[in-house]
Amino acid sequence: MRVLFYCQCPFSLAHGGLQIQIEQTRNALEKVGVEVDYLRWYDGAQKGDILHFFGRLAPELATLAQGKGMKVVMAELLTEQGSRRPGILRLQRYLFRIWRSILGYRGTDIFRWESYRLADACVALTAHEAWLMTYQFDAPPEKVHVVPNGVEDVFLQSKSVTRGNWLVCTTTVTERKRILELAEAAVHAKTPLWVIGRAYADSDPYAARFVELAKRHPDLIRFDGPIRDRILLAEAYRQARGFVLLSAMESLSLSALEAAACQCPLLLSDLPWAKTVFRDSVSYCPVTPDISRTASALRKFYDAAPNLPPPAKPLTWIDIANQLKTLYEGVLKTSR
Amino acid sequence: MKILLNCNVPFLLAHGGAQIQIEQTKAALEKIGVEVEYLRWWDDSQKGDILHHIGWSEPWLVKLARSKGLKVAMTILLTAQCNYSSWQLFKRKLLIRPALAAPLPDSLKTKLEWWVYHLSDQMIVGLEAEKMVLEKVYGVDERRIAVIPLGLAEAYRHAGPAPRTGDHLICSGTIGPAKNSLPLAKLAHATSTPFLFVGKPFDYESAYWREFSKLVDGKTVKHHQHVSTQNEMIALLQKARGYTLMSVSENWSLAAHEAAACGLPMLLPDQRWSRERFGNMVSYWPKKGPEACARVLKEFYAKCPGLPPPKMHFPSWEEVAATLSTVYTRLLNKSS
Repeated sequence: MRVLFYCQCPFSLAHGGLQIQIEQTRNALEKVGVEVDYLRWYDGAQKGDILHFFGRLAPELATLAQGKGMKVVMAELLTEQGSRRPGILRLQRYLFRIWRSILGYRGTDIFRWESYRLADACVALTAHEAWLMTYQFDAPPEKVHVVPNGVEDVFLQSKSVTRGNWLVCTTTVTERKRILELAEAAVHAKTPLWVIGRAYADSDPYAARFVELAKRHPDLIRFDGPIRDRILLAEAYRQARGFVLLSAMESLSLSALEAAACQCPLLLSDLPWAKTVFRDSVSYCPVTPDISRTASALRKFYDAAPNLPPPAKPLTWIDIANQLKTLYEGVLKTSR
Repeated sequence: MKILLNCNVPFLLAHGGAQIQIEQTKAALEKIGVEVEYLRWWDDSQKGDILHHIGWSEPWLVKLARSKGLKVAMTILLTAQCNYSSWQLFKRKLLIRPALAAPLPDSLKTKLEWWVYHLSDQMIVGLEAEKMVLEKVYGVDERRIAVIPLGLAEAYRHAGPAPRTGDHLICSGTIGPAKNSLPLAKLAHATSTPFLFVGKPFDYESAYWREFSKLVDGKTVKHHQHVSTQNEMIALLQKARGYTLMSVSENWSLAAHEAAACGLPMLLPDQRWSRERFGNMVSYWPKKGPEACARVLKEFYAKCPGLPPPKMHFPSWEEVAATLSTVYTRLLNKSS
């Protein structure tokens, strides 16, 4: 069995969770005996049994792959949709149906909705996204599988140390992650916050505003860029008073899982992905433009953190690879 | 100057003109000293100055590349649209122009697939007809559009006159609905015109291929699998009595240019692309009616031995690369 991984978002242009997910999944699959190749779009001689696409595949590519005898596995992160309110989702669902009934699937090619029907399997990171795939995009329920992200051993096996006074947030510095709002709330609440990460581009004005704020409050906001050494990153989680991530949208935050693996108490945005994955084992903060409300939740978490129980430990990438291996084997046995 | 070439249709899923165009362009650019690499989506250390995307790209990818300081050139194939009637283009313009001009938030505009033509630093097309569509329908500034022809391999350019000793017409290209292979094969039987089809389908399991293969009798309709060497293809072309193409639409058609260079008289669809490239030097299918088509095919077949091949300049891939290199240089100079 040879699986071809394909993603149309180049890692050289966008770092982040997706890159880690793809690289770790590939390494782990190879460890459990599955041959994985990155799809080289320019190599007409490359062969594979399964096309595992990360994102929403264009329907014509799904059809072409199946025409070549390959099975198609599609793993899209429904980050934006997964963070919408139920009323908006209902409205979208009706609009989707109206649009499709007028134009048919072919008339909706630009949205690539048909790929959910065409794919041999759809992989969701959380139960919430799995539900969305069937509710919003009519993916056949029997084809939808929940396979979460794993965590590297370096985090799961890290040693416990005395926790310090800094809250930590590991993320890309971009609007969706609301780092500037979080930093403003931290200044307001006087809770020390260490932001680990970098912007997609140095020229990003949002990131520049955050950096400016951090420079004005070095006692409360620490920002030294990313930590590339995973051992040092695990130490940072272990030493942190708590982990905070107040993104406006998430799919299944890898950094939250890494922090959980390091037994760090978590404060997360009150969004469906977090509630589905962590339930009552972490603290929540509403996504609000009101800085004083965010600051109040942050302060409450900061004070309580030393006595909060750690969240449950996440799965390893090998666990994830085994789940995927079973999925691939099932897909190869199924006739279309 | 380093160019990163990218395409969202992997060659392992779809062979054809785009693959030849990309491979030949890369080889020719390297010959004239331009550094070119295929974009490796999984390689976060890959660097470049220009992302040259062949085919349509998601607007977010173009934005991301530009935010990283890369210039973005996009070669777009407007195969269907460049052959639309003026009325069809006008209707399209009525729909698209207001949407593009609407004061929509950036996040929403990025979802409009046509917005990418405005985001890219340089649009590249092969035909004046395609440039006209970009300008008139999508409102792209003509200074940002370059018309760069496709090249032809040296073997075809120096093929010399064709003996044309065979009794059959030849049609080369993918066997599929886009090329109207099935109606053409039926027409061959209806008019008892011997035909040789050279090419393979995208999918040997497809109903289209099965129906087509039923018409292959080895006498009136013969089929030759896709050939692997240019000399073999040239030999097949030069033996034929004439060349026929009945595609639904084309934009440049490398196959037609190869046939013309090999010295064959041609019967082509009466569309903008063919009129622009071949003018009055070839014969055309009537616009409507199977009976008219049968009559024209019979006439073409009968007159073929006395018809001259089109006389025109066939640019080499190196000529194309030199033009492209000028465009790249201008693009990079714009920023400095």
